[in-house]
Amino acid sequence: MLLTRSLVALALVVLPARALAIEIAVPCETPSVFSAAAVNVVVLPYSLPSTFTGPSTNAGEQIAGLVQLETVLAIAKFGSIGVTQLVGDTRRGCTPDIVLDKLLGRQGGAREPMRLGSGLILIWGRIFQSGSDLFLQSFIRFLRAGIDESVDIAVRDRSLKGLLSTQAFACAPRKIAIKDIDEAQRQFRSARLLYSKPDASSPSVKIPDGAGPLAYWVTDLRGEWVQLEPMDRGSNRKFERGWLQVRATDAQWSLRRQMPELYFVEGAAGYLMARVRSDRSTIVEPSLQGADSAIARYTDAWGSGAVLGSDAAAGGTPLAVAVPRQLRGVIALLRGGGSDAALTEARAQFERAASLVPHSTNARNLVTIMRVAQAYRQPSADQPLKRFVDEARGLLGADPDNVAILMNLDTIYDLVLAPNPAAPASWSLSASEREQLMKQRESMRPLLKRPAA
Amino acid sequence: MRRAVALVVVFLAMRASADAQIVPCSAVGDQGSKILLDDIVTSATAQNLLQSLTSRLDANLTQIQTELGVDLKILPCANRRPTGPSDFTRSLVQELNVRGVLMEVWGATTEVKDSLGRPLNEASIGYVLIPIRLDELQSQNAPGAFIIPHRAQPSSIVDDLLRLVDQAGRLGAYAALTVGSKSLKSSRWGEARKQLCAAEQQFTKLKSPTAADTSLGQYAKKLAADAVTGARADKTYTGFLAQEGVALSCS
Repeated sequence: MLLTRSLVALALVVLPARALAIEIAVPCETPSVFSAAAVNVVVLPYSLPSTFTGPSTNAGEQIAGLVQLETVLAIAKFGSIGVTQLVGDTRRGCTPDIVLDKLLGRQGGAREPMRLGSGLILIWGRIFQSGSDLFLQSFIRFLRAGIDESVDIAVRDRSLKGLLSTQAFACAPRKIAIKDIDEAQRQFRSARLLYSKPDASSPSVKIPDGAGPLAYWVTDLRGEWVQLEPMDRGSNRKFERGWLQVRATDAQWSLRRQMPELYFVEGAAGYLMARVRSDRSTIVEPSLQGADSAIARYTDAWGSGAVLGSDAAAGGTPLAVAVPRQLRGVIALLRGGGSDAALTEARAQFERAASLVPHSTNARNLVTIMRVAQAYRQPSADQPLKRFVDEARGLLGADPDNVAILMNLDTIYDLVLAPNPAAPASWSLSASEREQLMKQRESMRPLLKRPAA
Repeated sequence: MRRAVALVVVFLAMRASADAQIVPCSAVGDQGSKILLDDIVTSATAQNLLQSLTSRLDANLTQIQTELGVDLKILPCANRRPTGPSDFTRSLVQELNVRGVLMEVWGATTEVKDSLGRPLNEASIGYVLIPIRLDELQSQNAPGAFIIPHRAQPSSIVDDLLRLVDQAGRLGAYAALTVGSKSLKSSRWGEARKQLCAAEQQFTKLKSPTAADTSLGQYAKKLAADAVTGARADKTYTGFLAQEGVALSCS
C-alpha cells in the first residue's frame, strides 16, 4: 500500500503534467494510441457468442470499458501512459491481429500508430456461456515496437542472452456469475458519470453513449477517482472536464478479483516502462519494483476461479504462468544488476517456468544461461563448465534457427576454452577435448555471420 | 469471433442423410496457413455438452493462434459436417494441403448408453491433421484423421464438462506437429525441427493421451530425426543441423 502511494506520488510529482491519457469508444477500424506515451494499453471488446443469452449484449464492451478504467488506476503510477478502449464488432475485423498490424504500421488504418521502441499491451477476450453459467477468458500480448524482449547476463567479458517463451498468451478461463455481469454493468454505468468534484454526491453529467471517441488527459488521481480534462485530438468531439469514479469506494465486488490477469497487465506496464525509459534512473527502479509486486500478486492469484483447475500445466494454459515467472526473473536481473542474489532469484523463476513449458527452448535457455553464469562465477568441482557445451548444443539441436542460443553456445565455447585460474582441476581440458571443442567452435563460427534459414 | 458465428449449434432432427455430405468450405481459398473449424452438431439431449464443446474449441483454437508463434488463421466452415475420417480421401486432403490447411476440426454431441443401458452424453471431436493424413494415405504411418470421444454423466456440472472437452494441450501438440511436418516437406529444416521437437515434448505432457496421441508422439519423434537427416543430405543447407555430432533425438 505504501509502495503504491509512493509510486502514485512519484508519477504525479516527478513526471510532467499530461503524462496520462485515456480515450474511450475508439472505433476498431481506426485504432489509435497516444504515440507520445512510453507505454500504451489497448483494450479490445470481449467477444460474445452469437447465441449469448446473458443479461446484456453489450457485456463485452462493458467488460472492456471496466478493464480500461481498472488499468488506468493500476498503472497511472508509472507515468507516460495511454489507455485506449476500442469498440467494434469482433466478427467484423475487430481482432487483435488486425489491430496490432495497424498500430505497428504494418497496414494502414491507424489514426495514430505507435512509435518505434514504445511499449504496448493489448488485451482481448471472450465471454462464453454454458447453460446458465458464464465464463470469461482473456488474452494478453505485450511488446515494444521493433524489439524482442530479452535479457543479457554478463559473464567475464561476454554476455549470454535469454528470450521469453512468448509475449502473447491465453489466460485461464474463469467462471463468472450472472451477478458479476450485473455488477460489472452497474459499475460501468457509474463509471460513465463525470462529477464536478471527487464526491459521488456532487453534480454529475453522463458521458453519452455512442458519442464517438472521447479523449482525456488524466490530470489528478485521488483514491478511486480520476480527474479528466478533455483533450483535442483533431476532432470536434470533446466533452466536459470532471471527476470519474472508477469503482465505488464501498464496492464489495472487484473486477480484479474476477480477473487476476489485470495484475499481470499492471506488472507488464511497469516492466515496459522501465525498459522504454531505461535512461531515466528515477523511473526505472520504481517501475520495476511495482512490476514485480504486481506480477507476484498475479502468480499468487491466477488460479482463482480458474475453471480448468489451478494446475497450470494440466489446465491447458501453462504459458499464462510460465511467462509471468520469466518476466519476474528478468526483472530480478534488471533490478539486481546481475548480482549473485539476482541470479539465484532469477534462476528459481526460470526453472519453475521451464518445468511448466519444457517444450519451449527459450524457457530452457533461460535456465541454462543462469547455470552457466553461476558456475563461472563460483567454480565448483562438480559443475565443470564444459558440460554446458552439450546442454547448449542440445538446445540448438532442438531449435536450430534460434540466434540467441547460437550466440550463447559460441560464448560458452569461449568461456570453456579460455584459461580460468580460479577453476578447480576438474575443469581442465585434455588435449583431445580442447581440440574437439575448438574444432566445433570453428565449424560453427560461419553460422554466426549467417544464421541458417 | 467469425467462427463463433459459424458454430451453428442447434440442428435438432436435422441429422438426415443429407447432413452426411461434406460440403466445400469457401474459407479454404483464404491465403496462408489455416485451421478449419466445421459445424458442431448435437442431439436434443446434450445441449450443455454442446455449449461446453463449442466454447472450449473456439477458445482453444484462439489460444493456438495466439501462442504458436506462426502466422495462422482459424476459419469457420459453415454447414460442413464430416461424418468421419473416411470423408478425408486422398484427393480432398491433397487439395486442402495445397491450400495451406494444417488441420480441420469438427464435433458432435449425442446421447449414448453405457453397457448397463444407462444414458450418457458423448462429445466426439474429429480431427484431421492434413500433412499427417497425407502421409497416412500414402504409407500407413501414424493416424492423420480420427475421432476422440468424451463421455459424461447427464448430471455432470458444467465445470466438469469444460474440463472434459478442453483440448488446449492436445491442439497445441497437433498444431506444432502439422506445422513441423509441413515445414519438413518444404525442406525448411530448422523450422521443422523446432516444431517437431516441441510437438514431441507436448505429446509426452498430455494429461490423458489417447492411442492416437501416443502414436503421433512417436511420429513427431521420427519426423524430428528426419529433419536432421534431411538437413545433412541437403547440399544447400548450411545451418546447425548439418554440423557434425548433432543428435537425431530432440533431448
